[in-house]
Amino acid sequence: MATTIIEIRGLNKRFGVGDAETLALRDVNLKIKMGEFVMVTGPSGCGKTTLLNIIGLLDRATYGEYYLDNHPVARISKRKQARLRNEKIGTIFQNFNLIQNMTVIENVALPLIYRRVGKTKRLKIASRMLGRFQLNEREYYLPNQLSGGQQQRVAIARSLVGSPSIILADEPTGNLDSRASHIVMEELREIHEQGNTIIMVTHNANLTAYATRVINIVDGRIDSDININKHTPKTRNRRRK
Amino acid sequence: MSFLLKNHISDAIQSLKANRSRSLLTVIGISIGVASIIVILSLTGGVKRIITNQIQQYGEDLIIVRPTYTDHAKDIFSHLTNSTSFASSSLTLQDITSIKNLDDATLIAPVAVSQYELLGDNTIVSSVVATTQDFFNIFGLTTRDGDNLTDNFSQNSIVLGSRLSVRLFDSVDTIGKKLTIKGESFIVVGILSPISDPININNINLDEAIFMNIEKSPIIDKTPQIQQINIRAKGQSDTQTTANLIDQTIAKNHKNTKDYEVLSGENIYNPAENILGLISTTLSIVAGISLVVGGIGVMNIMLVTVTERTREIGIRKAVGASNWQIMVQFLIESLILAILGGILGFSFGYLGAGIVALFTPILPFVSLDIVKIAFVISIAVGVVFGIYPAFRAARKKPVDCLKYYR
Ligand SMILES: Nc1ncnc2c1ncn2[C@@H]1O[C@H](COP(=O)(O)OP(=O)(O)OP(=O)(O)O)[C@@H](O)[C@H]1O
Ligand SMILES: [Mg+2]
Repeated sequence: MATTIIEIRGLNKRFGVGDAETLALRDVNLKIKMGEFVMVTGPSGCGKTTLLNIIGLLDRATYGEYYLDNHPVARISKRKQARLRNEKIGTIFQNFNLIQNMTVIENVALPLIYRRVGKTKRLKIASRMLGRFQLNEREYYLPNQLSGGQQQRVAIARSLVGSPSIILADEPTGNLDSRASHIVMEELREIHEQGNTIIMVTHNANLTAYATRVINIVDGRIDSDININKHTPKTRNRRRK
Repeated sequence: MSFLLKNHISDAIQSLKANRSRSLLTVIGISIGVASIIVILSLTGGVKRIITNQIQQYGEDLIIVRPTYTDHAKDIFSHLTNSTSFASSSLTLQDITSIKNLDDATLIAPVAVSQYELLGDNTIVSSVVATTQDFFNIFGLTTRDGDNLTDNFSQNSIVLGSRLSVRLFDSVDTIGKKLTIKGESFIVVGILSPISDPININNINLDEAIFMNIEKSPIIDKTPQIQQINIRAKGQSDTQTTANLIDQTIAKNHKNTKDYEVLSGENIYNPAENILGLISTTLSIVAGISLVVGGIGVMNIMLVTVTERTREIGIRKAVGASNWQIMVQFLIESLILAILGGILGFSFGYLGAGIVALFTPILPFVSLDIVKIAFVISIAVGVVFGIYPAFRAARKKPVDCLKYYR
């Protein structure tokens, strides 16, 4: 039995008050185990991003329990949240979110600053990580000198640099064309195969082929939660058609 | 802490460089405030030094008696206008006689100044100083030839300041010349060597004054308005003891009414320092206002920076920066602006004080304390006006920052 990394019980998220009130998440229960590649799908506005932000400790649930690596984290201080974001969570965004006036390598090394890793060591680790994505030649480029696909691979490198327990990706291919999407997805598949746990939000049904588990959310609730045999994604795909 | 500090500093420098002209303008804004404070401090430092020099010059055994006026503001005003003639003095010739009878006071010179029309070769209105022979000895005043003015300072003889001699007779050598004041004829018995001493304890421009005998001169009132009594204590006891003795003596004459003050040592210069303090306080308030304006400039720019960099804040938080770390990052940026402003302001201020020195006898005086003050002020401005923008940056929620589009 693989260890549970994330456990969520009775999670609710409410935005606004009174007439403007939205229940973005309703009674979400979820367990994610080490090594899973979870895809979260669902119609626009169903609460996917909200869920991912709460898992990523970027936002808080209105109520409900959340255990990360078996520690309750739903009500911890902001300071501890920051610390856990740094140590246990790697985040990838749709719009890459690289700091524009920092070089590629500095962007990748950024999480290590908040872990107090010295500059030389930091850049060495970042450089090694960029090497994994064949981006060594671009180390001293600025983000806007790279293509979208390259930028997203830099962002992936940044999410991995601190060896987190879990990687969260919110529509990482949303801004990319199909070729670049394919490259990024292959990278994600590879890091998953190396043992990383990934939760990814997507609109693209084709991409669920990479997943070991697909969770569909409708209107803030988990509508379906299907485990897929990791070794036969293609079978699963065919059966769907 | 020091590890992150290093990162924050290099981040801040990078970001300030990215907005070069904006940063420069903000720095100049602060530097103006700092510069005015440096000018004020270095000039008051210069004036203080003049006073200290005078203490050394006149010696520590000088004692001064002045009438006091109930109204303190009037006292300062009288110093500013260089004249006390409108106020009636409480000091009398009787007081002089009493002090003379004390063993410890050897040289006594009352001073009563009034304005008269002087008829020499030219007609000039100037200050007539009624005093005694001792005046010249107390302040070590000599003639052009360097002789001491000892005798002949009686009934109708007068001593001229060097510039006044030239103005009256178009000559520096006027011994024996006659002039008329208030219908009485006087003869010049001495001319002082030039003294450039614009700030002195008698409040008289000695180069422009004329001196006559307070007791014997026919034109001096029998109860002259004595503005000050200068005494040099040469007895066995120390200056303070002599001063106390003089105080008691006059108190007896004045039936214990405290309408005078006896000053010795540093106290003599207190009134001058009071005015100095008043002027420099006023100027400091003005400088303080310009510092506040500069500080608001810092705050303004930092608020803009924080807004512009909302996304960066979100990214930093997402990868693990705590609120505190974000706060320190932006605080350091405003501190660097303020410290640069301080350095620039210090240079401007020093230059400004140097320019003032070209037109006044005051030499700017920059001590280590002034450097420290400039540094502390800059840091204070950086913190006070940087804390709010930094706090705003730190308080932003990561989700909201990441959603932000510019
Ligand atoms: N800051 C907010 N304030 C108010 N309502 C919000 C806020 N953020 C999200 N919501 C609401 O919560 C609901 C879920 O939003 P969320 O962004 O999680 O959707 P999503 O599933 O990610 O959609 P998409 O696929 O379009 O990205 C939506 O109805 C949205 O309007
Ligand atoms: Mg979304």
